[in-house]
Amino acid sequence: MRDTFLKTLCDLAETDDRVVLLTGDLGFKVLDDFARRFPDRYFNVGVAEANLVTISAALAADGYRPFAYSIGNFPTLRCLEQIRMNIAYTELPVTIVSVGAGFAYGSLGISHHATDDIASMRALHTVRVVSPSDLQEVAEYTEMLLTETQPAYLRLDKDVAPDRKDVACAPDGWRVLDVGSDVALLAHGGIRREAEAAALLLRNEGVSVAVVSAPVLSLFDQKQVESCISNQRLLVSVEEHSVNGGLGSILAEAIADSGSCQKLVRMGLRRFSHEVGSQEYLRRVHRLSATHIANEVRQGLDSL
Amino acid sequence: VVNLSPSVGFDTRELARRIRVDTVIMTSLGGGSHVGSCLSVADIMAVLYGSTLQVDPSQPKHPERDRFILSKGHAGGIVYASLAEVGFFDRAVLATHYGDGSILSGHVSHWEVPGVEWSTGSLGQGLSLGCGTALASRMRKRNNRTVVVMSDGECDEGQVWEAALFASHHKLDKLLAVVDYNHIQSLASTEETLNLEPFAEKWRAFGWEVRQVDGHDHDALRAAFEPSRGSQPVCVLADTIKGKGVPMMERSVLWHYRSPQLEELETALSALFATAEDRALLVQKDAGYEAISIMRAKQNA
Repeated sequence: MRDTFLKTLCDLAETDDRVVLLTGDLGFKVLDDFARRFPDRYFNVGVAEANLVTISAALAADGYRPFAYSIGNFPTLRCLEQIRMNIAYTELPVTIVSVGAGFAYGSLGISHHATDDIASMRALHTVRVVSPSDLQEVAEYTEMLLTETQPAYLRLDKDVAPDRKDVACAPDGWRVLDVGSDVALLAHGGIRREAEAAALLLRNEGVSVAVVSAPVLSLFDQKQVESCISNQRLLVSVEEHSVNGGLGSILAEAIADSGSCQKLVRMGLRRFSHEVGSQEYLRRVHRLSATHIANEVRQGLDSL
Repeated sequence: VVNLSPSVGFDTRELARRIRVDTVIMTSLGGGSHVGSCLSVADIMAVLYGSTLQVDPSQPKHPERDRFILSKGHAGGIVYASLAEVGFFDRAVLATHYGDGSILSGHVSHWEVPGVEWSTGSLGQGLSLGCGTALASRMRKRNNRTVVVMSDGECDEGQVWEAALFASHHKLDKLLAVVDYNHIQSLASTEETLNLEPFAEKWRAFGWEVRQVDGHDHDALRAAFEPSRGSQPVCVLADTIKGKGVPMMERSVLWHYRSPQLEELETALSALFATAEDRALLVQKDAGYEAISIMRAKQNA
């Protein structure tokens, strides 16, 4: 996802001289192409995330379109209040980019697990939160964010689900990738791959499964989102993020707002992860693999 | 060609006296805090808005303007007073400070207030805003300056030093930081709380051109606000007295929070030689709200 983002950003910077890339001293080698092609619009501010986002805000106030790049929780939680004061309240078009969503840096430990970022970012009223699940979404949303005028948070995973060129991306909506009538699996980030694998298992058992990609996690079109989940008796959210404040919470809120009586199962993290291991391993530990998802669906359907 | 220095000709000492009176009245009427912080920085503000800053009240968003950022956002009252006194908006609006439906919050807000660039109040962020603003001006090849006024207490914040490193590394020579060094922070003196000394040496070590002045001496301040002599950003450490101008408020932690009650207000106004015209603000709350309505109507049109 990171490489697709940077390639897209370089292409955009070629024709749009408002694009500026700032990094908090992260992105070894991968930022070189941008830095070489646009040296006047590339800044490594050092290991200083508060300064990173506040400087980005000031550049945006002068008409630039800054992309503030770092990894994990550093450009979000570390400087949450600076984002609130200088970017969100002021409604400036800064895009905060974090590489290493969820357990992407699993073995590096808790400091590098980005599992509460969406909850924090989407609490800020003006910030558009985007968590792509495939490369097509990465490219299209990067481009879309540049055409919009609001703050944004772009969360980039290491794992990716396969592209689905047949289903369009909307700036403020979700994508129904597969239609089904028994259950809808909704996911954001690369873990959508696990949801799709679970859907395959279930279809082999005769279950009719819808799969929805939910890359836009704030400021979405409420009606469009409701249309993605209506007519489903069972909704299952799958995300490599805390169950508090992520997609699961969004669905709970949507159900409450619409007054429907759908059953919702929220799959995500219910505690911090002290275990050491790869993204795939930690997914299994936290019961987020395809097998676990399929099991949850079976139990959910049984309980209806 | 736009005249961006309409404030030239201001008697900065008279301007300082006026904005002191304004903030005493404002904090009294609205029950506001931080009058001591406002009085401490009043001379700095008067010299900036009366002679240094190239700004035009009739064109607050002019691209070539100098940018002013109050990083010690709790002294918002003195910014509003300065802006009103040099003509950015009707002085009567000051009487609504802290009030229901006002545009003037205690900590400075850019929302609907002409001349305010950034909302602050969370300490330690203004110098980073200044870095980004000065950087953007350089990228656009403009000659304008960026001025950031900070408190001494807020230099406890780590972000200040992130920004200090950045400014000197990038040789932001059009960035001027002014520290209102009144030696008193929220609960006690800076020396007792978290010692900043040797303060000037710290800024020098971070690569800044440092100027130490009496923060109430207008000639000294004017000279200290001159552009950088080299290629480095400038830090002015302005030695000040918290509550300056009203003896009972001077050097007092209490007046970081307390708002002047009736008798105290009269004592303060007398100490500041308040005229009948100055005192008119005391009864201009309704006129202030009316002025806000007019400003809003204009903005909507």
